[in-house]
Amino acid sequence: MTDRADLLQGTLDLLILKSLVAGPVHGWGISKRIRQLSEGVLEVGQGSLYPALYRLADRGWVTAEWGESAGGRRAKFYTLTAVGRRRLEEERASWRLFSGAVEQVLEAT
Amino acid sequence: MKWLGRSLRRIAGLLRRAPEREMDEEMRLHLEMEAEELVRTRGLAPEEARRQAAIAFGGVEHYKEAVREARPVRPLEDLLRDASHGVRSLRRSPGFAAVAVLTLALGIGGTAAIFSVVRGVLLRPLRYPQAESLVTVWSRFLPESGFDFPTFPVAPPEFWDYREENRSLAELAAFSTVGVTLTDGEAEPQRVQGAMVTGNFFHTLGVDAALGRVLGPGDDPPGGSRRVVLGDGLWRTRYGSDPDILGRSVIVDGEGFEVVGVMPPGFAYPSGETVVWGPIGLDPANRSNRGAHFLQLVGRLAPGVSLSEARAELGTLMSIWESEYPEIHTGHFLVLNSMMDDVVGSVRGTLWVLLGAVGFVLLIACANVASLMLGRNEARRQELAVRVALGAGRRRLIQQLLTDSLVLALAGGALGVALAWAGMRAILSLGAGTIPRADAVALDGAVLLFALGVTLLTALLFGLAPALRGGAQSPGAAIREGGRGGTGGRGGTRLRSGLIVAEVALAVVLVAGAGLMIRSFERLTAVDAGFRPEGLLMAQLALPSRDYGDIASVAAFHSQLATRLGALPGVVSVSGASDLPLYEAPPNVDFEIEGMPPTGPGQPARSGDLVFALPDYPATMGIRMVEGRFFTPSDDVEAPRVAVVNRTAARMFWDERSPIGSRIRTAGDPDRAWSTVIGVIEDVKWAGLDAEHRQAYYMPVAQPAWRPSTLYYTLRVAGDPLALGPAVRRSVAEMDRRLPVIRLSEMDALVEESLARPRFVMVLLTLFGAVALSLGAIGIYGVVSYAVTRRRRELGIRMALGAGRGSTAGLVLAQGMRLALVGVGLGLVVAFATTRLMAGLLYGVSPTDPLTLAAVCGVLLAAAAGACWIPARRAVRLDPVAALRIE
Repeated sequence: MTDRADLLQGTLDLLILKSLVAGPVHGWGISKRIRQLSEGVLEVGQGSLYPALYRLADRGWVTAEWGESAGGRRAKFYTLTAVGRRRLEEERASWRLFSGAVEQVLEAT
Repeated sequence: MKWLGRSLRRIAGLLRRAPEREMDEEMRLHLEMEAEELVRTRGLAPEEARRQAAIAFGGVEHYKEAVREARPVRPLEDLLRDASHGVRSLRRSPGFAAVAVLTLALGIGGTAAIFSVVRGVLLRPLRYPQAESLVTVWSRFLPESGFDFPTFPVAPPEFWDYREENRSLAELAAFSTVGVTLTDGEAEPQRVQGAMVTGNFFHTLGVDAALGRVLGPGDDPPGGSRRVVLGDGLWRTRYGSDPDILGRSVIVDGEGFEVVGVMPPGFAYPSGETVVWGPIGLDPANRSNRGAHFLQLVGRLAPGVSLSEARAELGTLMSIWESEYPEIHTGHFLVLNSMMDDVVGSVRGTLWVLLGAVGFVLLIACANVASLMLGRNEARRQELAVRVALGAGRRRLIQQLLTDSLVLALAGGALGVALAWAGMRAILSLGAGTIPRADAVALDGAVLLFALGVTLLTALLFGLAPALRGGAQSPGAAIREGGRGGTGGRGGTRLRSGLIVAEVALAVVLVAGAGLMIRSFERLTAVDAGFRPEGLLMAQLALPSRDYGDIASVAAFHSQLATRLGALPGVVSVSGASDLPLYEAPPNVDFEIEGMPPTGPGQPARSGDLVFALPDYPATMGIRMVEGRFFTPSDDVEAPRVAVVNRTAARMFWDERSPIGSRIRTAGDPDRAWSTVIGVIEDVKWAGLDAEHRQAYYMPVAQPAWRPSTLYYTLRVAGDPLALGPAVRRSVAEMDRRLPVIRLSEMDALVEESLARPRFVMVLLTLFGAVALSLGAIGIYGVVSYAVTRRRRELGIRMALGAGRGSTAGLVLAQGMRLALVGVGLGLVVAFATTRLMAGLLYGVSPTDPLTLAAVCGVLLAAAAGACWIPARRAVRLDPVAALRIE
């Protein structure tokens, strides 16, 4: 597991929201997309993914709808809402601030 | 219980199914896709891929729980899930569930039953429009006068004066009750209760007729009119609900009256038996007879006027009257009551005491169930700990445990309502005749709501402590203990002990209440009534004034009937009087003693209870003559007038001298004739066994100052008195076919009746006390027996080390008895503080009677010892080797 980074608290929402920008995806698709985009470094545990999805849906940042997957199976697709999009920008900004600050600290000699 | 669990699960499922199923489906899809991916990318066999995907995914249930937690709280869904879980877990321990539910049902049912009576009798407004503004007015005398009755009638001039002078009342009506005989048509003659009322009577009460009209001012000129209003019941039974009754003539006391109206069902005032209303015909111009107290008054407060304002105004008027009529209104005045107080005043204290007592029973039930639950939770520690380990939060666990309590309480409440219904019926039949407004008592919405409230409160009361304790689980410790009887339950044991102490203390209070009531009842039944009721038959007759107008015909009738009855086989002797001890008290009438000056204003009036009696009264009733003789048949209307006084009157008015030979005359006698006192008779309890003896004087029926309306014949009988009933009725019918025997009863039964109220309270309090005692004993048994189970090992070691049976039993007994002693001590303190509330219900016993309280402590400790004995015996019989090996 050394080649995989543990998810920082609070980054999961950001990653999920980001992975939905390209369009509606189902749960497994989200986890796969995050894995691919991070080149296998970030692994979203399913145990955190679904509770997070339900939480986001509850806050109105994403909506869920049953549809048909590429393989012709019934799957639940998650879509980013306008509120979710705004939220993503906020999260992204605060992440940039945070990671920049961490980088600065680490670069200092 | 099975159906309950099933239906709860079904409801929960309906709410839960959709999201839960979606969750399942979504996760299954995830697993499948993951497995396919593994097949695709790493070329794994499908079986292996599925396995790895599942391993990577982890515990599905755990995630589902996490998903559920992530969603907002769904109280109803959680509640139903917990409830269905609660029902399932209760079904696994049916013994516990049965005891707990029954205990709660007893508590809730009893409380709801008493509350239904309290609500119907005390809390419901009377059935009149704006009943809260209805008032009654009575006359009152200072206590020194000797007739300090709380409700004494008012004289007509007082009525008219007050009606004209007051500004607080919108209406003030007067009436007088009267027993009348109906003799119309072919129907049997019937004796009924009637009221003679002023023209504004119905308007004051705010009631209208169901058929025709009520009496109005026009029907009540001076002298009255021949119009009557009938009660619904009488109209139905005697006149067959005749729709053409209006305008018909009915014969009341031998005179024809035109029916102008029929009242709606349920209307009966002033008494529940009143079925005929006629005009009273008072003359406002006649204000002379200020001492003739025979009117009852009912009024309605003017809008915006409070009872206390009306009372203040009445007080002012009374001081004016006192200066205007010093000879009458010194120490004599009018008082104003709310009508509700008048109707239920006598039973109010009793009912609140009973409600308080049953509330204690409920508390005891709660303590008992709480203690049971604590014990059960101790036994379930492992289960609870596992739940904590699996991720259940403390809040969630407490919620679950409270829901368990709620399930228990609801089951208890449901059974309790059934018990309450039965209890209410039982209470009403037990208290028949002693509870006013019994017809207003019902298990209605308000009572059901009350029961529900009590149920929820109960769940909280008995569930909170166990739930808080159960929620504080440390999973590691409990699981490591592995259910061994370790020391982990110390806090729980202390809590249970506290509950048991409280239970015993409450039981002491209840048993003390019961004990006091029993002692008081004993005292009451031991009272010497002054006559011998056993073997005595009573027959009540009233001669209508139309047929027996003159005194001579009344006297002749009674003398003939007495002779006839005396000739019946089995009759030892016959007599009769205008009143009957313990049933109807004689009226208090002033009299003068020849040669003694009349008493001054404010002084005790020279008065006594006046009884008109037939010859042989002392012999028939079994009343002792103190000196002199009683009347004989020769003391008739021709003979010189004679009288007999009772012992109290002799002592009160003649001091140490003998009254025999003195002459007295009664105030109401139109002839103002003197009667010579020929004897002194022993005191008799007229107004009730708990009433003080009062001064009384007797005059012969054959020499009446006036015509007594009713005569109570008494027959001393060899054998069963009631067997003689038909023969008595026949004899009366032979004398006068149209004369009803109003009531025929054994005197014994009437004495019993007079004890109905105290017996009612005694039976209920004894019942509550018994329940409290049993619950307390069960509670002690539970705690001690549980402790024995837990301490098996310790006890085994002790015995293995040589502890004797006696010391082992002592150890167990001591534990239980310590609790009982503390509880009894605490209970005594509470009892001292609370039993005084029932002082008004006790006769001849102080509310803190030391003997009773000592006996109560004895009973409680004996019950506790009994409850400890069973587990102690079990402890003694422990096989030390087996006990050590168990764990």
